Amino acid sequence: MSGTIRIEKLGTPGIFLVAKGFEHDAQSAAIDGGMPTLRSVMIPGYVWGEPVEKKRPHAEASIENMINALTRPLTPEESKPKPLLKEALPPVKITAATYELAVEEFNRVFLENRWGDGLPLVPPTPDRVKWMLTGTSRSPNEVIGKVVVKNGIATIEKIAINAVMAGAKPEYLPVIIAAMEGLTDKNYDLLHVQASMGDFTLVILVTGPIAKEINMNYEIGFLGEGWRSNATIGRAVRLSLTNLGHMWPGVNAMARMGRQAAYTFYTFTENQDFSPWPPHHVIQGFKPEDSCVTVSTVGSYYGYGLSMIGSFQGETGELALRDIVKTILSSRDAVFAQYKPEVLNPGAIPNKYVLLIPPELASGLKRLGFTRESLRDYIYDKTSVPYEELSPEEIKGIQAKIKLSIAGEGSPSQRIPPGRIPVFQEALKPGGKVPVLITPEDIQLVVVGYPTGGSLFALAYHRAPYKWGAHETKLIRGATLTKAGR
Amino acid sequence: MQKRMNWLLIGVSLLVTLCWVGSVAAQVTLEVLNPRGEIEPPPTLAPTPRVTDLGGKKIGLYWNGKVGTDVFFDVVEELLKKKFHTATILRYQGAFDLGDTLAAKMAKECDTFIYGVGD
Repeated sequence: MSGTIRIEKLGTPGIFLVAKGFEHDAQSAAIDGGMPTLRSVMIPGYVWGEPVEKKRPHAEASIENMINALTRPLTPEESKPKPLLKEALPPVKITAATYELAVEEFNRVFLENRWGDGLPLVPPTPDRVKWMLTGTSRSPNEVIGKVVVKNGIATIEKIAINAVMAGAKPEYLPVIIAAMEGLTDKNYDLLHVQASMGDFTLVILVTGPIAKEINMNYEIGFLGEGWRSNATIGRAVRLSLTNLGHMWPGVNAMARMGRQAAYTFYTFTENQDFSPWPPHHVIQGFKPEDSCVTVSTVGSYYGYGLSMIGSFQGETGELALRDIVKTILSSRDAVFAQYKPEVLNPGAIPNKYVLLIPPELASGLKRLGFTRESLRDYIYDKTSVPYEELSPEEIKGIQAKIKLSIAGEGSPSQRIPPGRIPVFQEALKPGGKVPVLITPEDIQLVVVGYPTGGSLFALAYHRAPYKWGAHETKLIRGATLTKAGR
Repeated sequence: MQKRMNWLLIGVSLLVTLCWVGSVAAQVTLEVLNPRGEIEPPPTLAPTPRVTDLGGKKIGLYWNGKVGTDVFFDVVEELLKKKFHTATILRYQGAFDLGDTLAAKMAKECDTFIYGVGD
């Protein structure tokens, strides 16, 4: 929709095509873009991926509507749309015969307004929000960013309100704030997570000493229930994204099946007791004694969601390495040969990975001589394909991608980021090796789980058509109730 | 008798009043803060006046490469040409939001346009 408005603003009239079921989404986007009376035409059916013969009836059924919308003079209402007003956000008063009934009514009202997640909420009374704010020294009015879809302003106080609703404790608040800082970073593509049909979800990884202070789970059941910090930090981020971004399923959040870990995301910490390496955030340039939050977009289904690379008993590092390389290389054909500049094919976009490594296996890998950095670089190298082994179709695909990237055309996810283009140019020569991944940083290694045995899992993401950033680490700061994160 | 009735009425009224006061006293009011993020509304703009006829016009079709839309636009192009023999169809492809450069190019080259993208 933003693209349509961009051309309209330059004085050329047009229309936006909307698939059936996306009428609310389109209207919402038109309002967000400041052109609420922009004309859309609904296509009576789903345009993607259907056989060619099925598209003709859709086009035939909608062509007259398109012509009409392109040529019918604007009505007075369309020519002079009402100014958009700032939404008043006053406190809400709920009255009932008893406290229990008032809480029940509060939950009804909040869910009816689309301010919840479907589970019971804790009422964010002024006193309880004040209590939540005791967890941070930062000003309640401090703005940390804007949350898509509708660019709601995220202040410390608003995050605290949502943290109360999620059932969080004040000592978790600095962690929740840091996660929101990562998600609202200018480089992070939050829009794809919030609005896409692709069911994307998040990893929220808390590292450093604060994780133990707030009793986060990193062993048995680290992705499961039963731990208040894991559950409510993730839920507070979930509610903050919903309420600060003004998003709602089927209105402007179009994930078809919803997302895995929808209520809490994948929120956990590393098993630092048994990890052979410094905390995850050190590789991101932070100090070992720092406490950080890393947010990372991952898929839910279709081979991108949580999937097992292999089950390893004992320190069988060699076997795990073989299987990691095999898993990442499985995307080779799509990334190289199936790449076509004129088609936005998600399979042809290089993945990024979050690998969840059980501690015993990590120790085995260290015994082989790997640090976290050298292991990352090793996997990147082993998943790079020697030029001599590339097929003519693969070479053609890589050449096309380099060309499109230099021209800066197509979608960001179809291109190689500017800084990496020379790497690919150099690799596509005799003696070179062309990487399946864009950069070693696209492999994130996290040591987590029960100390012995265990399975190695991967979460993947093929990136958005809007921005490249899908992984961000932020320092936790301003904590007042924990020794770490101050 | 009348006097007794009056006293009875007064008694009933008092009882009702006391019950009402009691029920009001038992009410609980919960004040909660609004969890939504404040939005700065953008300035409102109107769409550009339409072209009156597509005959002889340059019509842009824009897509972001999402599978299927190209074939859909092939049919749209065919139908438009059938109905408006003198119209010229121009095809464009780029990002979900085409950006300023391509927007300027389309605005310059087209009289009107159809935008169809997906993610």
